[in-house]
Amino acid sequence: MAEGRVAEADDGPLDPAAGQTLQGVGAGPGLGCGPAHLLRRRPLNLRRRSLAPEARGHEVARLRSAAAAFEAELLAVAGELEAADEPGAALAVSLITSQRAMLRDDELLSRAEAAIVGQGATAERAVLTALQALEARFGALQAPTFRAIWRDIEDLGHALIGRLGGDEGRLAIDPGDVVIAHDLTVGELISLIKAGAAGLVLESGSMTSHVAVLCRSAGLPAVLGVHAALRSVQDEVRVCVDGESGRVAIAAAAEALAEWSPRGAAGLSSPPTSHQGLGVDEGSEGEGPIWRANLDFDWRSDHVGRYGAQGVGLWRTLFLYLGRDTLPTEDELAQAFSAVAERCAPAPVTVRLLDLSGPSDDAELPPALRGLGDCRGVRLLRHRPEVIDTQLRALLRAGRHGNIRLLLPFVSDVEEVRVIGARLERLRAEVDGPRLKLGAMVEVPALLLSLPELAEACDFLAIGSNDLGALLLGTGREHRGFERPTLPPALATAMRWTVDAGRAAGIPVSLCGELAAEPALTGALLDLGLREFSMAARLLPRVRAAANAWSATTGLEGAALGPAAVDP
Amino acid sequence: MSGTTAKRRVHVRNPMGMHARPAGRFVELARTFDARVRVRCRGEEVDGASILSLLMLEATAGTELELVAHGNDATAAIDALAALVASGFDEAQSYDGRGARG
Repeated sequence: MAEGRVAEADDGPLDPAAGQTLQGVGAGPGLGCGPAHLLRRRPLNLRRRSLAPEARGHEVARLRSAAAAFEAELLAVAGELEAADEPGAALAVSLITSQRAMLRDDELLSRAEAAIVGQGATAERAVLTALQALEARFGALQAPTFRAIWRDIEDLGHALIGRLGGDEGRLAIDPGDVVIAHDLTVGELISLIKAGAAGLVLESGSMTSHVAVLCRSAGLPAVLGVHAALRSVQDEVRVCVDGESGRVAIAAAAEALAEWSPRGAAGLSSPPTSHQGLGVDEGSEGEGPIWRANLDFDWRSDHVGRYGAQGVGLWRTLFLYLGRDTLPTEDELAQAFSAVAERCAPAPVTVRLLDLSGPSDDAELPPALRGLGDCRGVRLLRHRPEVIDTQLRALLRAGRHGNIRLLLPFVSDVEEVRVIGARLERLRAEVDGPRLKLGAMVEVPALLLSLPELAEACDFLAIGSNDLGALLLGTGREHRGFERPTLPPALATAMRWTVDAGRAAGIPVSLCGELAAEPALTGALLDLGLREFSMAARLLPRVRAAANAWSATTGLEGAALGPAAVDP
Repeated sequence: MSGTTAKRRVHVRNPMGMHARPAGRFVELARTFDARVRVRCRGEEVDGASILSLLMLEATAGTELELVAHGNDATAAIDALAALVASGFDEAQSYDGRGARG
């Protein structure tokens, strides 16, 4: 893999031929690769020369008709979305409703008109003047989530200015293009998704912006807030967007991923497999491996059911805490957990206790959870026991509605499992909840030294291969998402030990790192004795196909492939 | 404008407060009435048809709003708008978190 470098926002001009990696905020799921398509807005006509009084009426009319045309266009997009009735459509429509209201708003339009009439500003400059006034007022707000709305308003205002210059035609892309732009409106983004964009890189935007919400809902890989994007990439250059790590690989850095595709991924350490002509096995419980879904931001939609997953293998609850000013209440959490548990019952819903992934999330977290540095996983108990208790109580309440399993992240000592177990038992008496299955993530290598004891203390184990591999081999997580996952011998051995410890104790062991979703490794993972996998639901079909191919070549199937121990 | 004046106090109930999408729905609903709607919050009063003004109220969860309508259908407007706020803006999708990562 070519060595990329991370470009900082204030770097000088970059050599477009060299491979580079840009860092932004991952906002849409998955990996998207394709030729870059740069969307530049026309230079703004921001001349300061004052218009003659007799020309000002025409300028006001030009502003009004551009705003009205823009609004009508958004309305048409909303109408199409409502008719299509796709998942996420309701969300997009409500975003469009807000944007249309902003385009009619007196705080924007009347102020801009006043600048035209009073000072003879051009329509473009008048909108900018109105935006500047709004920026100052939004910047003075107290609540971060309300202050952040300014970015969406700014993007919308700039799009309106672009329309005044007549750049509506800029959205003509080819299917498979990775779109690079400064900003997009919701309407523009929807057009690009319909035109088949493979990925999106924006210079503006944050995790909580309208565009981010929509990318997640539409499943478009996206990285936002990449300051140098437009001057770092040239049209047609190959770009890969990793919406999970927030990285953008360009040119040589992306070429290494040129053959990265489910079907191109043969070989490595798995037995020879063929993906040709294999259907997806719908698989029933007890026959063959168990396939579960990971949940994060998308917990409200029924991906689990759509791709035939047997419940949830990993619910990253961090996403319930991000992008808000207050901690979620016990009721809110219980409601969320219950809804999914009910939907999946009797299959389990494995909820991972809040795992803060590091200081980089601070800006998105409620103030009560900031400044905890690298306080990973169950260590949070030392610093914020009340946050843990709220989550435990909510889980116990949700346990009445389905099969909730509690998974402890970043456990480094078996004692931590016992401490949480005792806490859970005490709270169970208070809220009158059912007994929940308790499991640990095997991701801190120290646990490998006490696997039998760990397996005795747990009802199930889940291997987190991302952290386990990185910590075991001393590699950073920085390139995660751009390298095809591999299975180094030490990691394979660690996983085999874990599987063996689970078998000996009669408890199930699952795998929920990125390795699980790599079809080229599915055979090797089955060879290690793993029989339970969890991954983004939409990736399940291709991995199941790889498992079928493996069972065809090894002659193992049915009961022989079945798990050693099963949670329904 | 002729007609009646109606007032109602109501609390913002959804976890994310009256942010962009709820405020958009409020404005959209307010537009369907003839009555002029004003919204009072912490001593400020703004136009209920202006989404930007509503957003600048920073009506986080738990904030008390006073809705005031003046016009022929003032009572109907207040009933509908107060019900929208009290329902948490039907925000089944309100706090849908954010991006996939890690």
